[in-house]
Amino acid sequence: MSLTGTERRGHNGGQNDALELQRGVRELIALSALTAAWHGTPTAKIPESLSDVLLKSVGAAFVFFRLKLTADGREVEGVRFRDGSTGPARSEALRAALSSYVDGGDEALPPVLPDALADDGTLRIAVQRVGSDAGMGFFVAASERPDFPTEMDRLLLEVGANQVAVILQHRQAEQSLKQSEEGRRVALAAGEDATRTKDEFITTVSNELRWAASIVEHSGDVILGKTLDGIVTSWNPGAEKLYGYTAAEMIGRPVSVLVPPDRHDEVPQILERLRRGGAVTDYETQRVTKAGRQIDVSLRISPIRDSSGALIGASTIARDISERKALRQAEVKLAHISRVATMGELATSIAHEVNQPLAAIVNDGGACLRWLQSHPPALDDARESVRHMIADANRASHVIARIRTLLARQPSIKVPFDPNDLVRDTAALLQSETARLAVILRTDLEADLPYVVGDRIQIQQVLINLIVNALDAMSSIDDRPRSLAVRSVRGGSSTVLVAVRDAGAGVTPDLLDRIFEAFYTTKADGLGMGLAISRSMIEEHGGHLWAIAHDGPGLTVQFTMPSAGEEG
Amino acid sequence: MTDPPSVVFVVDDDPSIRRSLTNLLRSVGFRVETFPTAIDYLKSSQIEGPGCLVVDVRLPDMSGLDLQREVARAAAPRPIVFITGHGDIPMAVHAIKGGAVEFLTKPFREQDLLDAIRRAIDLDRHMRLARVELADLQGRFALLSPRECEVFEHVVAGLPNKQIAAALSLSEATVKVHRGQVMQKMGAGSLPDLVTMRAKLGAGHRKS
Repeated sequence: MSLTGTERRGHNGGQNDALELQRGVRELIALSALTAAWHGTPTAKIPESLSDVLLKSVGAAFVFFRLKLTADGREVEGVRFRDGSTGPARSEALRAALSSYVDGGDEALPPVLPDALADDGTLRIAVQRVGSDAGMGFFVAASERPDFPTEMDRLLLEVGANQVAVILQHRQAEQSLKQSEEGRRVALAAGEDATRTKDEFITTVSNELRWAASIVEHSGDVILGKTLDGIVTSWNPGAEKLYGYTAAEMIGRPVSVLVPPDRHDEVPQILERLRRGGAVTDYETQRVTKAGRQIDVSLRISPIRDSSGALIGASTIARDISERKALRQAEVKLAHISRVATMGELATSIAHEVNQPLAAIVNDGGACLRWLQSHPPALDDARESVRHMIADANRASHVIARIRTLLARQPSIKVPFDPNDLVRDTAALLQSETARLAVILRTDLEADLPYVVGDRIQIQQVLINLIVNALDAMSSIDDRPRSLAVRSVRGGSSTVLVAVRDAGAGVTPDLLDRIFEAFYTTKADGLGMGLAISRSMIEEHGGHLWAIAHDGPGLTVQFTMPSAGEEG
Repeated sequence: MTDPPSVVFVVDDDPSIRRSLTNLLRSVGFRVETFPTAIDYLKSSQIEGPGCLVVDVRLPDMSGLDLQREVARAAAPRPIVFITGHGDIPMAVHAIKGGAVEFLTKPFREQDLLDAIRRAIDLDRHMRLARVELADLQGRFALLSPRECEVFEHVVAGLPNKQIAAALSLSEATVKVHRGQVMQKMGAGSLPDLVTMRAKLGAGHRKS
């Protein structure tokens, strides 16, 4: 059994710790890109795909999973072995060993599996639950490493679980939306065909009501009703599942029992707003479950009126966003890590960029002193020297400001900005690097482009990624000019398109999509994550990122962004 | 013999650096010429005058190290002071091995640059003098007859007249005459002078 990926581990010294950390970061980056990588993967294939990634990232001997893939609660079960063996006998033996946990929900699983299962000694196992309160299932990873699971292993498993929870939630939401729309269409069709007798009218109305009730009943979201004083009047199974209280426990009680003590001001404010006829949409806050666990939720609260239009209460839809929030934080961190890594690669060029103006200032300063000391003092020359010193100091501080913005770790903030400014800034930042590699960078920017909305740093990071890729692609080209073109154009009525075209070897059409897969790389020292991360960042902004092959040499990678004022 | 004044030739692609170096060197009293690329420098007409080069290692189209190789091939190679935006040890080793006077990392202390430039200009002056001297010596050496050349070689090898006479099948008196001619034509005041001259001429100058 090969142990690649685990053999460098150990606890003898700082060097190993550093290696372990480095490996951990690589695996984290890989795991964090999974949701993007699963785009288009059938839901049924996701558990296996996750297991395969986990086998590699924690160096497990096997990963066993049992997950609820669909809202109907049906579970799928499977196991993936490191050596790829799929023998039913082996799976059976494993299933038997795990049965106390798998079937009984017994959490006191022995930390070490019996010898029989392992080829060479005992296996240590780690159980990772998926979804809040393991609502979506769990998986079990096992390894022969005596230190398994380390803190890093635990973190990797947790991130993997988060990823799978988010994608399954997303798919389930899509699915139930599709189903309820289908149900509504059937009900309405029945209503329209009916003649207007009283019975048929009642049938239609009751169909509609049944349809509505069914949505409330089966929605994975919390749906509750309350009076304008905040007393709960209805409580769906989704609310019971998330908050832990049954309908009987909650109806008639104030909704404020769900609010953590430090947020008690919230409820009066919301109720006040409702009384004035206002609504609350996508309000992110925290709530406390019956068990005392604090969870992140997104609330949507709307007033309910009777037939005369008088306010009689409010409906609340709440959604658990704990995983989504954790993932978003992980993504911000990941984006930062990958920015810092890119800037590290560019360090030589950046140092050069800062040193040039500094050297000029030193030269002019020395000259200035001499002009002043000469007899008579050459005041015009001295003045001229100082003027240049100021200009170069400004140039240096601009370079530093540009880099500092990129290295800063800040929450994602979406603002409108000029896409051409972004291209110019980025070209300036990489000017030294392009010069070093003897690449001629040309920009072709359409005038008066509309602003786009987004996290400027992330979009700049994407552009840096694309340009650095293009530079790498041309580093071995000697028989033609190393030319790089960055173009911006209006794409349709409401988007802006930015394209980066290189003169490198290009990519064959069959590989065009592969380059966006996580881990796919043509570079010896590449992580194979740049394009995957870039694509997920652009899609997060409502845009697209894709590549176009050319007949001759070269590759174009381009992305669109919705322009300001045109988006939802 | 009056040389034209030394010029510092600056080759750097960064306009700020070219301009500020000109300012600094002018304030010290140097004459300065600048070029944005190595090719521009090589194409310039002033390739022969006295002076030294200040070259950025990292240049577009042709690197500073390539320029160094090109300059070394010239009849009158100018000494080079390298400047660079980032300290790169292998590059510095390469440059110094190639005969560079100094390798300075930007931003450098002005005194270090001025010292290096002065050393480079001194070196250039010495090399120029040495070249003139050698050319002069070669001219005198060319005046020797084949027989005088033979006697010259034996004299500087330390042989007494008697042995030279035996080796060349001449009379000792004839050797004495040739020897006097050699000393006179070469302008040597003593035997050690003559030996030094032979060394300066190098192994390549042996008439057969």
